[in-house]
Amino acid sequence: MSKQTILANVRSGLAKRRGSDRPLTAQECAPLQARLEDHVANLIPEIGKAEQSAAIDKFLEKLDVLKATTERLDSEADVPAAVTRFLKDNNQPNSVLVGPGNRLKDLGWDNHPLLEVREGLPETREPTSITHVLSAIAETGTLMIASGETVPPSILFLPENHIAIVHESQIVGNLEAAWEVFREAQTDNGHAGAMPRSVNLISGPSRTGDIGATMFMGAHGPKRLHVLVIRD
Amino acid sequence: MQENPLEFRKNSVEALADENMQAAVGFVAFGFPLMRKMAIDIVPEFEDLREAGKAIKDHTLDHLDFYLEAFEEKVIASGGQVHWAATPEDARQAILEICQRRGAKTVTKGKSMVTEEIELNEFLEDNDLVPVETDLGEYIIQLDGQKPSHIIAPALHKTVPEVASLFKKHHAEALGSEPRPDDPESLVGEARTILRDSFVSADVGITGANFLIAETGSTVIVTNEGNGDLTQNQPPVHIVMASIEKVVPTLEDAATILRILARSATGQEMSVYTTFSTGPKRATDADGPEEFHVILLDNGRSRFLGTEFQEMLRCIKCGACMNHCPVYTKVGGYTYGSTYMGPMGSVITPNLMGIEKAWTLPMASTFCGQCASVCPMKIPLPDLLRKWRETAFEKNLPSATERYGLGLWVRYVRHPKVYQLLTKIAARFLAHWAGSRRLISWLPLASAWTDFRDMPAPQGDSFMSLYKQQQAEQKRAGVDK
Repeated sequence: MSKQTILANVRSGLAKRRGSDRPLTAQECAPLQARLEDHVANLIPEIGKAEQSAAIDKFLEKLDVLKATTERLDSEADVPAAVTRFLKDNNQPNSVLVGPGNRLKDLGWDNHPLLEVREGLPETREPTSITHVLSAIAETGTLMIASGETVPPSILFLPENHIAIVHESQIVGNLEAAWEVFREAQTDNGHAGAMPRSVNLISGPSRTGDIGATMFMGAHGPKRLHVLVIRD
Repeated sequence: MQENPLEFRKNSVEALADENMQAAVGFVAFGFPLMRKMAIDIVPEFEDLREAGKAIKDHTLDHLDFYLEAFEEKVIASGGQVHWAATPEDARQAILEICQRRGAKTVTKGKSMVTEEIELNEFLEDNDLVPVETDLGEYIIQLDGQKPSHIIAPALHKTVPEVASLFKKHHAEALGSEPRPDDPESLVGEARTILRDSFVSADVGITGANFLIAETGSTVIVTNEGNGDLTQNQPPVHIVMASIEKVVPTLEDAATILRILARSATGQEMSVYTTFSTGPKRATDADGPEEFHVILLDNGRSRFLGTEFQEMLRCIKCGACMNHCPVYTKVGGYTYGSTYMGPMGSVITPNLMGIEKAWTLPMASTFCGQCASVCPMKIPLPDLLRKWRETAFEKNLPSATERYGLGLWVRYVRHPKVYQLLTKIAARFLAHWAGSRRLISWLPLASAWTDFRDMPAPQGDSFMSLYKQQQAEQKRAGVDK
């Protein structure tokens, strides 16, 4: 049985440090278990410590460096008009997809009759999707999106364009702070069982440097990432 | 070029004459270090982050049995399965068993060096499965039946016209034989079009893992293209191929190492997609795989534990050591004849293949120390290479001439008086030999140098005699005060 073989090999190697090749006792495991339960953050550099308005500025600045585009809006009611503008500016089909049963469907799209808004899973060659985020990270211009009933991961990767809605209050300084937001959003104190199938950290549109050592957008994921930042 | 580390010398001669390879390693030597430097210069705490990353890995490795079992428990709790694989054969069989049970035909693959290590593609093909590499670089070299020449930029040695002609040949069936645009951007678009259908029609998706999280049972992939995500999300089965040293305790620990990983690898602050996968899709999820399997491969890694080589298990496969290596950036990845190349590869490979079959790799180092100075995990690579050299000498692996020469030098260096006298004579002799040009164009036993360039003449004195002179002068100056 490979499991026993591997664990025996690991223990016999570590025996040179531990003085014995027996499994750890409950007493020896206790501080390790506590380390997992406490999940303390390690060193966070200054660039990750921006807060409030500085964090919002930094987030927008990082998205620009990452070649994502942004627009600031006063409320979610302005989203349909902003989406229409984005599609027109980029010469994209008048069609957006929201996740199955996602409340984005009820955003008041009626004033834009030319825009087709569908809900469900993306087609293989889906043009544009729109999602909310769970949190956004100023340090690296990163979106944190957790999968779930109304947020299938495929909606983040199959479409050619991804539009993400971020509320200013969702912007935090660093990844550790985003994990805190994530843990609070989960039941069971954020420990396993409460993890969704996937947590996606997205920093800009898809890219590759594999041909001719030159960077091109849209390798396999979205070619464009457009972030709508809503003022609170 | 032969896939045999013992052919290093012969392979290196071929690589030096290969213009495409030279252009590629030229980019590696210039581009990657520059991008890395720019990304770390904006974090004054980079050194402290390296220390923090090292501490996390050291702690985890010291308690690896605990963290592996904790990880397994959480994978099972979230509906997944863990398959422990002591050997590459165990790993291949575990994967085959899953594929056959599902009646799979095609398998999409995210970029994974561990699947290269266990030669998974060849094995899957032998068992009537069709593996499709989806990382653009891996896809290109798969079309040409090659292996990665760099761990993070596998097809760097392929020129744009070479890629265009591979695509022309292999995409004719799907896209027709009319001429298509062959600029790099169009080629990227063409690969996107072709692979899109593979993503949605594959029966099984296999990815690697940059981290395994013990706290949550999550596996983590870090990519820029999004191919890894489409690989692990669209097919009904997701298999993660990971090695045992990838585990870290918590999500916060992964956050720390992520800060140094992308900076050291591509010079990004963060790669575009970092994805934490935990178990199969949940009952109410609209998509995602029905099955989630993690293969945990040892393949000799546990032999490193408790030895000086334990430090090597901190490696996060960023490639910084090879990007800064004066040897790799001349001879390229294929010269090493092994899955892993450059300084990290030269430490890992003798353990994977046996020192008898790979002793030439630790010799292929100038011990300049650049690799250790840029390694985000502070692995003392030159020290570990030196350890392998010692083992190689103990086992009489280098040629008799080499061992005899070194033995002679050892005897001579153990007698400082004789050594100093002889070097003094040699220095004077060489200065005289060089004449007024002060350059030596031919020297016995040194044709490897003098065939290609002149050797500058010593100025006529040895280091020790100059040192003694200087000490004496300082002493006089001190007395004068």
